[in-house]
Amino acid sequence: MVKIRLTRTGKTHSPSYRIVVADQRSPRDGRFIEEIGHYNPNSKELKVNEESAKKWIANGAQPTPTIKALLKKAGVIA
Amino acid sequence: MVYSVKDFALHAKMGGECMFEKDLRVAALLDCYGSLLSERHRELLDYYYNEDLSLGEIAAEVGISRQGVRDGIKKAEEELGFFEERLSLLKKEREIAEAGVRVLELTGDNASLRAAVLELLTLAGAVLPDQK
Repeated sequence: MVKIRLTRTGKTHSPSYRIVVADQRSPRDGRFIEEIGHYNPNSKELKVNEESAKKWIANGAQPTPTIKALLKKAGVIA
Repeated sequence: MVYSVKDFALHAKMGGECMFEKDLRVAALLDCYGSLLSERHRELLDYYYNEDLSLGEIAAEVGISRQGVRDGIKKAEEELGFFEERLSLLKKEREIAEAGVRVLELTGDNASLRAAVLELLTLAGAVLPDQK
């Protein structure tokens, strides 16, 4: 299954996340299909490529609960 | 900002900053105190917060039940909250970084002073927000 999830980047003590579309299997090796945005919980900065997000969801990609909340906040999904 | 793990649920109820099911601030606590946790607990939190896997996915990965994963994560979060409550390392670190940013602003164009302040902050272990 294809998932939309966060993946951590940033430094120790200052986390920051990318929003990626990735296959559910082999999560540890960091392989992803497409990067569709980023999120910084410290500055609350959130950027989502709305078009690709909608495209992937329409094609059956499952967002994780965290991503669902973020996408709602960004107004991409209702 | 002072928060213990118990506050997290409260924040959510109040519709405060924490509007996600996963509170990503745990990730910052994990950076601070992660090495004090057992390897299993650290692994669970890493999967859950840094890789954003669901409980079911972690269960399959680690080979324990979904409930086992949840219990482990809750316990590990409590441990992190306990450490922060007693040691406040994360809080102090944030305060140093905030003060550091203010001092850096005051240095203005004085390059040597700025370098000295940066060195001091590095020694104090402050992680400054990215310079834009």
